[in-house]
Amino acid sequence: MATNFSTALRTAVVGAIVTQAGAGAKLKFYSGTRPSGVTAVGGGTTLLGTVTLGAAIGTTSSGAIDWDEASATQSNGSHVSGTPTFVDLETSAGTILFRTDLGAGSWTFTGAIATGQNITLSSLVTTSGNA
Amino acid sequence: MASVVTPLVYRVASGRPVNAGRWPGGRVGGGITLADAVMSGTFATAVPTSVNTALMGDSLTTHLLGYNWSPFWWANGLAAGGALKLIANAGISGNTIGDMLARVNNAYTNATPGLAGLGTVGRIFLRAGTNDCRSQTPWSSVSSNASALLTALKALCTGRIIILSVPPVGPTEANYAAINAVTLTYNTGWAALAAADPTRLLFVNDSANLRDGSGAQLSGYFNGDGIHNDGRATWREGVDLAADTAFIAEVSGYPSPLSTDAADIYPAQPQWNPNHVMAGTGGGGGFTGQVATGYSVGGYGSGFAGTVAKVAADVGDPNQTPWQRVSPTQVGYTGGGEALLITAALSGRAVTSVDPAGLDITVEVRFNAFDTTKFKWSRIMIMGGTSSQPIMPDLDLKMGGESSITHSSVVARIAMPRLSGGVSESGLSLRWEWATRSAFTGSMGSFDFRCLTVRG
Repeated sequence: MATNFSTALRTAVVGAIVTQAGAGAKLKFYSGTRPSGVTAVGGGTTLLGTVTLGAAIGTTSSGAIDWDEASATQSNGSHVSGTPTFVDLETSAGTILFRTDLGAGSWTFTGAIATGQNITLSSLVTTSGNA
Repeated sequence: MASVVTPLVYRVASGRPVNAGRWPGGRVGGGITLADAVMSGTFATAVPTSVNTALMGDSLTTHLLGYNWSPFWWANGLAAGGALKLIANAGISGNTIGDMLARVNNAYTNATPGLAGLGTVGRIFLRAGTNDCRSQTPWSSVSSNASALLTALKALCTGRIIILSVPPVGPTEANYAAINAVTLTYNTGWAALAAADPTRLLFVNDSANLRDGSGAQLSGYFNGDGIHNDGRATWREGVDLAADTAFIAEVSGYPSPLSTDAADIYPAQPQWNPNHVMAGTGGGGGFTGQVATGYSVGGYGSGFAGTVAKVAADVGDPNQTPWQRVSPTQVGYTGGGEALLITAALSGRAVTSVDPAGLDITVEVRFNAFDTTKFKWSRIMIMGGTSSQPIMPDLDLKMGGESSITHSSVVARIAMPRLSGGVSESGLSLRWEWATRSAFTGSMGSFDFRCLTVRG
């Protein structure tokens, strides 16, 4: 069943993500089995690296978020070597807003996280469905 | 993602037919499905520049046994924790910049070696120009060759070319004052080329402290020919290179190559030293005290005495491998090759004329106010049991510095290919010489070592 939203509505949908994320949101990269939904991470997962985003995670237009990679910061000395399997977006207060697998059809991760090496963010976009 | 719209239903009023009160538009059931947001884009970690490293240069770079003046080992050990793995040295005595350009793309196995065919190489250290300066060839006459050489080197590695400076020459070289003036223009030229491509080139003037205020060569750092380093010049260059902030930024961030796992030995792993974790006290040699099992500490030649001890790692040191301390109290010297000597038997597979093709030697050395004025160098050799000769280039730390070395530690490492003319050997052993510069009796401080691995 096809359901289509107007572009304005789709922009508002992803705009809610930007609003809820607020300033200083974090992308946290984990290895291990992805917990269900957006439940708290626990045993079996390892936090490999954290990237802190800027005053806003990105800008919205045409039903999509264009993530602000340039404002992202990280302390690569705290990174743990490994290959991430999923990534969480958290507010600065630690509330998980969304969780997504890393792989085909989604955000992809090339290489592996390594201590002392920055995680590079390239061309990140989140596009609302129902176009 | 599924969002359910609750059906709106009228209740049937009492006494009314059941079909009379329904929502006139019918019943809307189920729900609409919101499509997933599409996540596109990539994360990636920067691919670290390979630790594989090669050298290009003239006699100030070439690697003969006991005759290698590159500061690479000190610089790598102090600034990078020994992470860089030297796999090739294409230094050839007497070469000009043009000579290097002519051979740079030769295979490394060529009789006139270049740096081709080495696989992935991260960085190349280059020191070139001394032999051009000796003929007082102006920089303007060699600059195009210099640029072409750098272009060729960039194509042979994935990271930066570390350009080291042209050192001063001494008064035993004819026309040395004029030559020294030329060397300064070369360093200006190399620096300008590096500045034009900072992504791929880094110039470090590691020989600035070998000159006096006028730019002339300081006495006491070079051999009698006025051209080649004494051990103290190599040590000085290495310490200064390791202190260069741009160089530190370039080579830091790699994990330590030191092995602290007792199980990291043959046959489980291709690691030939059975006691790199310094276990036990079953060793021996001519010095008094405790020696880790499998090691012998004493002297080669007459006139050596000292004490040895096992020393626990410092509290808070992430590497808790104990140290083997060596405190010489008497060293001999007659010019007959005397040396403080550490030996150990190695254990591994059968050694043929071609296998192992090369070995990666790594060791951490800590100096405790060690008086290097009594020593010329520390060199680790891997000896063949049949030939009684080294099977690969030695791991060499030149010394003889102005005073005691009190650096906390240096991780020395080399991973060069086997020397040509290899034969089948009955086995391998480790021979570590601390060659003396002069005879002396008294306190000389001490040095410690641990995590000595021979891998390949």
